[in-house]
Amino acid sequence: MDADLGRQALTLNIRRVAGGDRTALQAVYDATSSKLFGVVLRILNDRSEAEDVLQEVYITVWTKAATFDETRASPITWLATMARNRAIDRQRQVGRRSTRPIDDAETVADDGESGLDSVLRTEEAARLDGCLSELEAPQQKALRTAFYEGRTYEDVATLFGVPTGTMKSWIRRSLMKLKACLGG
Amino acid sequence: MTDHDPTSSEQQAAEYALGVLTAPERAEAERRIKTDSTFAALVGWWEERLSALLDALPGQTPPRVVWMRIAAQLGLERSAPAGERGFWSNIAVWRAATGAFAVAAAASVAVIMLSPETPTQVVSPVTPPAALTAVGMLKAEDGPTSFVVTFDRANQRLIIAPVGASGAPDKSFELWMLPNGGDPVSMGMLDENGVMTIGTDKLVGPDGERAALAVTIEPRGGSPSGLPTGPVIASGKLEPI
Repeated sequence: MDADLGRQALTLNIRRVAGGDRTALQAVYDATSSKLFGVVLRILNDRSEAEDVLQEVYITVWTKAATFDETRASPITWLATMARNRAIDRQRQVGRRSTRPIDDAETVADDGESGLDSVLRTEEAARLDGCLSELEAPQQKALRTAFYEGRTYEDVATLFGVPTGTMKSWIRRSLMKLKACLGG
Repeated sequence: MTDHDPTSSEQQAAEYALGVLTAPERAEAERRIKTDSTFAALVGWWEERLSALLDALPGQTPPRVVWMRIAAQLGLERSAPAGERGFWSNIAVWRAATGAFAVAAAASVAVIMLSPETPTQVVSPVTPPAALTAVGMLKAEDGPTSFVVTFDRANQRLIIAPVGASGAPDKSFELWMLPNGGDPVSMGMLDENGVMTIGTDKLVGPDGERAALAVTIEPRGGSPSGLPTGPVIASGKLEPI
């Protein structure tokens, strides 16, 4: 299945969820839960918290599916953004469980052909990668860490061993360069 | 909302989408998203661009219990209109996962919801005495297996009795309690010979909330791991009338 078809199927299923179709919600879950769990687990670094957030996300999908506007966001961006925001909010409340290693034995990366893999916008990813590679290495790494782990400026600064002010100017400058490169 | 400096708007939108803001800063940005469409569009632009980074992130299969909890929680959404007294009106019915999980006898399950006023609609060997306030039924649409669920209000317990033949001889139906934030707890097998009685106090999770219930199909005798392994055929949550 090519990316467009996967995206269309997901969009259609979200519309069916908006109409109250429970089997469509299960289809959305089956196609996207492994991706979204990967996203929230990376931010929270705690399986139990991540499971709770994942549950909240799909409950929100059920109640808010009608607000999805395919002309403004791709379905997977809509879902992933919701998952990231919920996970970041939770992390701000409970803190990041940095003491628990994420790659314990029961966590096996799922690199199989999930429904979502076919929705991936590889062109967008390649373009973003190209723009990121124009940044200096530490700035690029800081930006990626901030994004994947949902850390605050202060938190990333501590992790990188630089003052918070320095981290702010690294990331702000990087974001401006990125915007110019991506042509926004 | 036009008094914002464009550069700072751009910066705030990007920082929000990236995820580096503190909780109060995030709350402020979220307020602005709701009231300022130009700002909301900037945030949307960044979210769409940055989400390409997620392509590189490996997926992680969540445990089955997450879907079970979602299914159970959504049972509440389907609850009967306010004022209706049916105890089991909140039970959710879920089609079993198809494909890899197909098990003929449990491909789908129906719950018959009954109000206390109409107990005679139950077609089952169980005749509820007057003290029993509500009766429900778990039934496989295309198989003979079904369970009658009775709430014995006087004794604050549920009585779950199988009706008709069971599913495949090498399978068992296992009843689970799903406490918030914890692993499922097996309440036992729902097989053809026994009547299961559960005190409603047993259905309260460690957080003091009533836990959801789910039925899964497991190898004969129950899940070997102590956690659900088979498809969920029904789930729901007990709610006070």
